[in-house]
This record gives sequence, C-alpha cells and structure tokens, in this order.
Amino acid sequence: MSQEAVATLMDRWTNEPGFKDEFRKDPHGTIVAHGISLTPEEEAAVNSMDWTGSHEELAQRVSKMMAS
Amino acid sequence: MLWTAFDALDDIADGDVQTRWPGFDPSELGVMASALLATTAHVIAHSLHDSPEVQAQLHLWIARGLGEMADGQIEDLDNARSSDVTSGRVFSSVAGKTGGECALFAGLGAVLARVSPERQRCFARLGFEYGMANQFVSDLAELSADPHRRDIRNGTRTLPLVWHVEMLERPARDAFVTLLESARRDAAAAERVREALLVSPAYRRAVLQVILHLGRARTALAESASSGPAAAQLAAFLDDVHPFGGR
Repeated sequence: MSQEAVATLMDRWTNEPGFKDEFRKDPHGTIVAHGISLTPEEEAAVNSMDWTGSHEELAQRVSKMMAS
Repeated sequence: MLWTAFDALDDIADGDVQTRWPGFDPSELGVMASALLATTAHVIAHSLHDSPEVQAQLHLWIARGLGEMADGQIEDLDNARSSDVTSGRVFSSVAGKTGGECALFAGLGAVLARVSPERQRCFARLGFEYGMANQFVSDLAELSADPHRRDIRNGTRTLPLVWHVEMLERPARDAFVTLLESARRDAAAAERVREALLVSPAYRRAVLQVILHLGRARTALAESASSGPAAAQLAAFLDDVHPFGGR
C-alpha cells in the first residue's frame, strides 16, 4: 500500500492553507489536482470517510465503533 | 480459550493484571494461560470427533497462528522499550498480535466448515483485516475513553501516537518524545499527550486506516464466494463496525 500518498494527503490537509476546504468540497478533484496518486482501495476509503466533522465528532464516532 | 489465554499473557506483558484480573497474580495467570495454550488445540481436535485430515489442519492453523501472535507480542514489548518506534514496526506488531489472532479464529471456522484451502485463506484474510481495524479502533477509543490513559502510561506505541511523532519536525518531535517519557510517571504529562493526539491529523489518518482495513475485509469476503444468510450477516457486521456506516 502506498502509505506515502496517504501521508502526503494528511500532510497537505494539516499544513497547506486552503487544502482542507478544497478537499472537503471535492475530495476526488482535489486529489487529482494535487497529483496525489492513491490506490483504488485508498480512494474508496477516502470517499467513505466524512471529512467535514470536527475532532470531537470523530472521537465520538470512534467510541461508538468500539461499543458496537 | 485461546483468546482468553493470549489476552491474559498480553495483560501480564502490559502490567494490566491488577485492573483486568483482580485477585490473580501474574505468575498464577501465566500458568493458567500456558496450560490453556498447550491443551486447547488437542481438546478441540479430540472433542470434535472430526476426520484425521481436519484435525491435522486444526493443529497446523493453531500452531502457525500462535507463532505469528507470539512474534507480534514480542515486537510490541520491544516497541514499548524503544523511544524510536516507526509506524512500520507498529504495523508489523499489530499484524502478528491482533491480525494474526483474528486470522486464526476465522481460519479455524473455515477449516471446520470444510471449505477449500483457497476459501480458508480468504476467511483468514477477512479475519486478519478485521483484526487490524479492531486494534486501531481500540487504540483510538482508548485515547478518548480510558480514564487511566493506560496505553500512554505503559509506553505503548500505538499507530496514532507513532504517526503523530512521525509528522512532527524537530525540535517539536524531540520535545514530544520527552513528554512521552514523562507521561509514564506523570499523570499531567499523560493528559497533555492525550490532548495533543486527539486533535492531531494522525488521529484522522488512523481512522482512515481503519476504513482501509474494513474495505479489504469486504474484498476478502467477496473473494470467498460466500452466499446465503451467513455471508449477508458477515457483510452487515462489517458495515456496522464501519465508522461511517460502510456501503
């Protein structure tokens, strides 16, 4: 698995101004525009994740997963 | 019984005997776990009255699985003693310890169902990927829900923690590693580590990793060519544990 591509995605998510907003609106388009080459399974995972929620909401989802 | 034995050995290794096994001391627990590991395979094979071929397969799966789990456990202990753990080492340890455990249990079920070796491997892969996902969820949930901050206090190098360290540049990285060492003795430092990890992009990346493993488990299920209510139940189970509802 291309861990590097996901690392690049998260690095840009964290450090690049405007990337987060762009990505939240159009994940696929943003990945293509920035030349991040994810595998099909990574792209499927990216598309099935909700990128709009806050840290707290994400932690709540994880707690629910643990309970299920 | 195998799960209980390995869970007990894991708790001995992590120093969790008092909280998880009140009334036992580590040496008693170690004897109990060793006895279970040494006898369970024989008891299962004998009590199922199955063919010699199936019994031999059960023994082989258990022997291989326990070997992989032991490798992962040793790597995990080694990681806890090291201040320079990479995410590659975390993956390797979790793959043996938890992925290997769930692969073993899923594979044993497939052997008992007398499916072909190819389908046995598909079910083992399903178990492996589910085990990986489950371990990472457990690591993430412990950050938000465990009041004792056991992973941080025990020095356990979990995936979100190691990814967080790897994402930091020096000197922030060195400062965080120093904070991690302090967290083993100091509750306030442990709390600061926890707060940093909960808002770290590494946390979100680890959730993405969980989704990746669940997707691979789904693929393995599809490749097992299973059908009927049990297959539907397994697919529904994978959707239920997906953080955003799966398909």
